[in-house]
Amino acid sequence: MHDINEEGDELIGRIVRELKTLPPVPADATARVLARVDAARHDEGPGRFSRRFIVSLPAAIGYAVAATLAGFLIRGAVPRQPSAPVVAQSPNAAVSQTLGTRTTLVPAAANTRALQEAPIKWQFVLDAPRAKSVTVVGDFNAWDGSKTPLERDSASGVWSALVDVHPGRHVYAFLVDGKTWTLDPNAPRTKDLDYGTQQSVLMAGMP
Amino acid sequence: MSTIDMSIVQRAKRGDRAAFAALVDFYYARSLRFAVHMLGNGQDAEEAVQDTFVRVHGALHRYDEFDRFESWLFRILANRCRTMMGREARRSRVLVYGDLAQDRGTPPDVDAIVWREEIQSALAALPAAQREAFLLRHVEGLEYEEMGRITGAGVSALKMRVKRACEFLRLRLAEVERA
Amino acid sequence: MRADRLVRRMRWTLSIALLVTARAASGQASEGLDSATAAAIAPIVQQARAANLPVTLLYAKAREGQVQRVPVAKIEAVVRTLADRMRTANEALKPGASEQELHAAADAIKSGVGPETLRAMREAGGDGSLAVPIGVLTQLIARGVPVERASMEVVALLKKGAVAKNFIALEESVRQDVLAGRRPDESLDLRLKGIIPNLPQSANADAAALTGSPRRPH
Repeated sequence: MHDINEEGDELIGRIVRELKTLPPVPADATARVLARVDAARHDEGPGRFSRRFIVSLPAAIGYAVAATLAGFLIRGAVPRQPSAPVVAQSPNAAVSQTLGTRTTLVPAAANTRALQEAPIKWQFVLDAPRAKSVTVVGDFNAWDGSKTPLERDSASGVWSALVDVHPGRHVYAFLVDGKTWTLDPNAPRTKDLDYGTQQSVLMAGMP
Repeated sequence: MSTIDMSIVQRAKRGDRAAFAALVDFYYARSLRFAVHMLGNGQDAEEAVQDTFVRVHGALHRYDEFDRFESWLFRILANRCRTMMGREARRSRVLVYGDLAQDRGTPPDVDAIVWREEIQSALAALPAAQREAFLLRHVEGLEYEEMGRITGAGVSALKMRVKRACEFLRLRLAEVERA
Repeated sequence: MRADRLVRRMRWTLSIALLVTARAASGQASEGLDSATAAAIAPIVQQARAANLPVTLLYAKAREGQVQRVPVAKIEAVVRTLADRMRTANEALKPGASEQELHAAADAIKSGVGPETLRAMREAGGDGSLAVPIGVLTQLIARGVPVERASMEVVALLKKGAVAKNFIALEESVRQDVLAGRRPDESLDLRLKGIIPNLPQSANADAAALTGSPRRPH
């Protein structure tokens, strides 16, 4: 990211900061776009979407497995049209099913939620110049530090890593040299009510 | 600036309606911001942004992921804004949103609002091409090459526009700041 | 019939794929656990699976205990409690709670939030994910805001159209205030005043949008 102000000007910087403020968006904005899209599609008739296939099967499977390991329904359809697909569905899977010319979302609420919960990249930082290794363990990686080693910046001795984290509240700690449970000095802490240990807390927003 | 997860774009390309809705949600505020500053009034801006997303929906199957998605989006948006400016006489310049202090618990600040309106007024006094270049560069944070693809202008021409815009804004708003 | 063959082939491919991924996923999850722990929680996991609950959360909780060298018996008790909380959460967050929502809700229940609050949040929150609002509720309570007050305010915010970023901002502000020595419930009072006027369902927000005039603080 280039710096805000290549002219090195404080006034321009202030102006830009002001201009960067995002406006509030009317609550029905997206709905109105969709309504216009429908109207436009209606005008042009069943077009490019009539032959659209479903959301890719691997993606649908991935979602379903992540949500629940059980509860799949393999719905077999003996179609009149040869193009109708067979789709695996679980209550929590975000799957779109196209039959003929109409697209049905099954179920709509789960789709929205799943998309809102898509992981973001969270930066973990620990200043530990004398450490030989630092990993982060938390509820987002099943407390398995091997998946998320931090990297040391040679100049500053600061360790950091970007980790995929779903929006919401998460607890974690750093594991220094494989054995020392270290809390994040810059994060709020909490006491885990189950095991009684001290943990650091992070709140990740939506993408 | 955060970028949308490409898997959502891909799903929207395939006709997933919820993915498209998520895409609109993600980029609406930014698009509206650009349109308001380009066009100077909220009503036109709203229309330009709505138009843009309907076009995006229609053209998504042509988006080939070679450009960054927001680059592609902004090309359509900038086009819409240009068309809208050419088309009709400007309506009254009313900033639709008064207090933009978001959720930080701060009370509204009249000085800040005046400052905002002065900026908007100064922007409006710029030639459209300079305004557009300034916004794309400094507010949207785009690279010159990208801006070239969005506007169709050459990189050196764009750099000149941005420079002139900065000079003008500096002159015009230094007064206000001192006041 | 060409259609029949297509269907059959797809069903076959799908079953294999699902079997492989399911086996792989569960294999990965229990790989991190030693055999004693895995055996201890197996019946709990099986019951949860049958109830359509995401078992990854249970495995993660077990691993958490293992990493901290907690005795197996304690891990088993904790995982059992978690499964119960997830069941309660799943019921309250009908229809169709996501794994993230269940995770957040189980922690909230642990902090004293009642299922009726979760139900109310689901009703007020519409199609949106409740993972962040529930997480913020848990955090506010951890900061010292009484459970009833925090629950009430979070539901009210959802009703007014608050979204994830509003909740995140609220939590951060309250956190700063408490660090600076302010009382948590007083901080909540103050910070709500800043957030509510900007929400879509606030009458104030509508008025300001129409006139472009500065909103009067209240």
